[in-house]
Amino acid sequence: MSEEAKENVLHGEHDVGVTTQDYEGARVRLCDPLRVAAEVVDGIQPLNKFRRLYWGVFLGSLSGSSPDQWVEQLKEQRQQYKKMNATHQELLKPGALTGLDPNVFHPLSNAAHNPWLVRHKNEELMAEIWKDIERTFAERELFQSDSVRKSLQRILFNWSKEHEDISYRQGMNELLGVIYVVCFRDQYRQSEGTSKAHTVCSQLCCGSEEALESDAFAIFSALMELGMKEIYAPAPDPPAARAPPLVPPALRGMGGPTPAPPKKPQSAGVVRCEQIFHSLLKAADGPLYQHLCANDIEPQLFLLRWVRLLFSREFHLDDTCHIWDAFFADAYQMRHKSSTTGSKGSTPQADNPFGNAVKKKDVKQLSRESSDALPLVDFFAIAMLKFVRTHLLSMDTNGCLKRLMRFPPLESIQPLVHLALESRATKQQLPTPKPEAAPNPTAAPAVPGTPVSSPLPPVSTSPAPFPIPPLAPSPPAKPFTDAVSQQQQQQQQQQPAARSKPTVQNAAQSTAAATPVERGKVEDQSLALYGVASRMQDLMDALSQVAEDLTKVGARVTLKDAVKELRSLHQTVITIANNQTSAANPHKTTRRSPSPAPPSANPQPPSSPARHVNDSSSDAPAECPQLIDFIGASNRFRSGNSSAAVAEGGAAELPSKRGQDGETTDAMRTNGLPGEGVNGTRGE
Amino acid sequence: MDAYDYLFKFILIGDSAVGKSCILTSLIENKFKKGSSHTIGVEFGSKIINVSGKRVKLQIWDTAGQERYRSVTRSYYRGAAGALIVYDITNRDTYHHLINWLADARTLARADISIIAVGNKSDLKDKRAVTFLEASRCAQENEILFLETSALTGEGVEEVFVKVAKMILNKIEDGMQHIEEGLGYHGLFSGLIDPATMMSGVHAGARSLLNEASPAEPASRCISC
Repeated sequence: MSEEAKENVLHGEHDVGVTTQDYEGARVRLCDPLRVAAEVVDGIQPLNKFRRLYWGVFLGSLSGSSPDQWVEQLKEQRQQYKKMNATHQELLKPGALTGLDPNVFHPLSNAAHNPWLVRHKNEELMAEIWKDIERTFAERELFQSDSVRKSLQRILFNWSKEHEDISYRQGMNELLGVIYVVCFRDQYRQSEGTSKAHTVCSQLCCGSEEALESDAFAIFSALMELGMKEIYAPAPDPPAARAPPLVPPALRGMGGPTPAPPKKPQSAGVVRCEQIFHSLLKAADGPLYQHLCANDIEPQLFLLRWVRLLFSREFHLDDTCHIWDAFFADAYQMRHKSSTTGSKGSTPQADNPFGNAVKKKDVKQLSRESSDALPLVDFFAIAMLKFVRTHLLSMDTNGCLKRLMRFPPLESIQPLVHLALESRATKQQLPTPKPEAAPNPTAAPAVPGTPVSSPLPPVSTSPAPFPIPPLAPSPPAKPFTDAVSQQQQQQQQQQPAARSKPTVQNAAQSTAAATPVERGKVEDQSLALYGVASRMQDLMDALSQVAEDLTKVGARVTLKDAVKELRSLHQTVITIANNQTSAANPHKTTRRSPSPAPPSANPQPPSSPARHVNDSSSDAPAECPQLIDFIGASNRFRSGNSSAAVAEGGAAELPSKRGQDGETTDAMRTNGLPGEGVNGTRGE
Repeated sequence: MDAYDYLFKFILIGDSAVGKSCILTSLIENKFKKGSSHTIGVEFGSKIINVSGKRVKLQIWDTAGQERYRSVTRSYYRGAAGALIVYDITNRDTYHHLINWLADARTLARADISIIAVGNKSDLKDKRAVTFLEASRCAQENEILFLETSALTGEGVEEVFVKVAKMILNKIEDGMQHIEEGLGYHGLFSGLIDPATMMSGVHAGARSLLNEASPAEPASRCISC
C-alpha cells in the first residue's frame, strides 16, 4: 500500500490524498450535504477535499448523509463492479473460446450471436476506446500511467456494454478523466491506524486501483444517468427507408457501409443545442442572438462540445472541477426541493448507477429531460456567451467562431456561475419571452456614453428591471433553510465572489448593505471589469509570447515595457472591480493592489432602488473614472508606440481594429489554433 | 495583412485518429502537437497561402473522426470547395473507409468540390500497411488527387493544401466554378452575407472584386440546408 502510494505521488498530481485530520475536520459538513450544496452553488465555500464523496452524493450514486452508510454502499458497489467487470472481460480473454465446438460456433460464422463475432466486436470496441484513452489528458502524468489507462478503458468498456444502445462515444473519455482525477486526489494513503476515522477513511477514500476504478465508474454512471447519456445517443433512425446514396458509378461495388443519407433526424444533443441557442439565448440576449444568427453561427458548432464535455475543454481542469461542483450541487438541491415539495420531479432516477434502462422517447423529450437533469448547464452556456458578448458583437463569423471555440481563460469561474443562476432566475420569472422583454437590439450594444464597441464585456442584459431572487421561489419548510439562512443565501447570490472570497461572516454583514438593485448594478459593473481583466490577461500572455520570440530574433524590443504597463493596468482594473465589489458591502474595504486613482474617487453611487436597468448601464462608465482612464491609456499606448508588433497586438483590445486583430490575438494564444496573423508569414 | 484574392472553405474528413487535427496544426503552426485530444464536433483554423501568384485564404474545418456524431456534418460540408480525406498509411481499415468518406463528400458537398486523398503518417515507414502505388491508383480511379504527408515532420502538408487550392483556381479560370458574390443567394439569411464569410466555399476577396468580378449567378449548385 505505501509503495503504491509513493508511486501515486509520481503521477504528477500534487496535494494528493486525504488524512484522518481532513476527515475529522470535514465530518460535520459531510453529514450535511444540503448545506454544502447550497454553499457551493453560492460560491461561499468551494469544495476542496472529499469531492469523491460529495459528487457521489450530489449525483446520486451515494445516498443518505452518513459516512457509515456510504461505507456500506461503496462496499456493495465495488463488489458489484468486480462481478460485472469479470463478466465483460471474460470474452476478451485469449483462449476463452478455443474450447468451443467449431461445428456449433464456427469462428467465421456471421450469426449474430456467434461468440467469435461478439468477441471480435468487443475487441474492436476496446481498441476504439484505447485510441481515445491515449489522447485523454495526455499531458498529465497521471494519465500516462499504463495501469491508469487500462482502468479507464475498462470503465468505458463496461459502461458501453451495459448501455449497448449508446455504446462508447468520443467525449465520454474526458468526462471520465475528470472524475478519475477527482477520485485519485481523494485517496487515503495511511496504512496503519486504529481510530474510527482511520477505518472509515480507508474505506471511503480507498486508494487501491480497484476501488478507484469502481468508484470512478459509479460516479461516471451516475453522471451519465443525469441527462448526459441522452446527448451522447445517436440520432434515431429516419422513419422512411434510406434514400440510395448518390455514389458515382466508379465507386459502386467497392464495399463498405453505405454513407449517411443527406437528410437525417437530429440527435437529442443537437436539439438541446438548438434549444439553448434559439430559445434561451434569444430570450436572454436578443442582440447577441441576432448577431450570431446573422453571421450564420450554427449553435451545435460550439455548443455540442460545451455541453457534451460539460465545458471541460473550455477551462482548466481545476476550474472544470469547480464548475461541476456547482452543476452537481445545484442538481442535488433541485432534486431535494422537488422531492420535499412533492412536485413531480422530472429528474430521471439516478439511484442505480448500474441500471440499464433503455427508453424510447422522441428527441425533443430526451433533450428536455437532459436539460432538466443538470438544470444549471444550459444557463451556464448562456452565461459564457454573455461574458464574451462585446467581443462577439464586434466580430465577423470568423472571429466569433474563434472566440467561441477558444474561450478566454478566467480569473475565477464564480462570476459565470452567478450569471448562470441569474439567467435562470430571470427565465423562471418570465416563462414566455415577450417581444418587449428582450433587450432592444440597438440600445444594448451601444450604450450612450460608451464607445460603440468598447472592450467592456457583459453589461448584464437582464430584461427585468426589478430585483431578481436568485432561484425559483423556495418551497416552504425546507430542513436546511430557515428564514435567516434563506436570506443569507439571497445575499450571497448577489455578490460577485470572484476576488473578494466571501465568507459566511461577510454574507451576514452584507445583509445591512445595499439594496438588491444597487448590488445587482455594481455586480454587473464588476463583472464587466473582470471581463476586461480577463481579456487583458489574454493579451498579456500573447504579448509576452511575442516579446519572447522577438528577443530571440534579436529585435530591439519595447514590448516588454508594454507588457509591464498592461500588467499594471490589469492590476488597476482588478482593484476597481474589487472596490466595486466591496462598495456593495461597506463593511469590507480591503484593497489588494495599488491603484493610480484613489478608491475614494470611485464611491458607490447613490442610486435609488427604483432606477431602471437601462439607466444603470448607461451611466456605468461615468461612475468608473478609472475605467475611462484605462481606455484612454490604451489609446495613448497605441498611438504613442511605433513598434509595429505592439500596435498590432495592443490594438486587438481596441474597438476600431477589433475585427482584424482579434484574429492576431487568437493566433498568439498558446492553447489555440492560430490564424494566419502570425503564421501566415512563415510558410509562404 | 488580411487582404486576399480568394477565400476557400476546406474540410478535413477521415477516420478517427488518422491525424486530421495534426495536419491542421502542422499547416498553421508549423509544428507537431503531441498528445492533442480528439476533436469533438468541429475545430476550425485559417491561413493565407500563395497559389500561382494569388493570395488564397483557406478556411479549414476539421471534423471529429468518430463520425457517429453525424450531427454536425451537413452544415459542415455545406459550401466546401475542397475536401481532404485523410487515412493512416499504417492502418488499412482507415484506407478502406476512404471510399465511404468519398461517397459522403460527393453526396453532401457541392458537386464541384475538389477532393484529395491524403495518406498521413508517412514517417512511420516500417509500419506501412498501405502502399503508395495502390493508394495512388485508387485515387486515379476515383478521379481525385493524392499525396502522402507526415504531420510529424511537416512533409507534404502544405503541398496538399496548395495542390487542392490550385485545382480550384484552375476550375475558376476555366469558368467551371461558381464564385459567390455573397448577394442574397442563400434563402435563409439573404442580404446579410458579407462576401468574406464562409457561407460558400469560394469567395472572391476584396482585391479581386474590383478587378475581375464578373458577377456569377447565384449558386444554384451550392448545397444548402
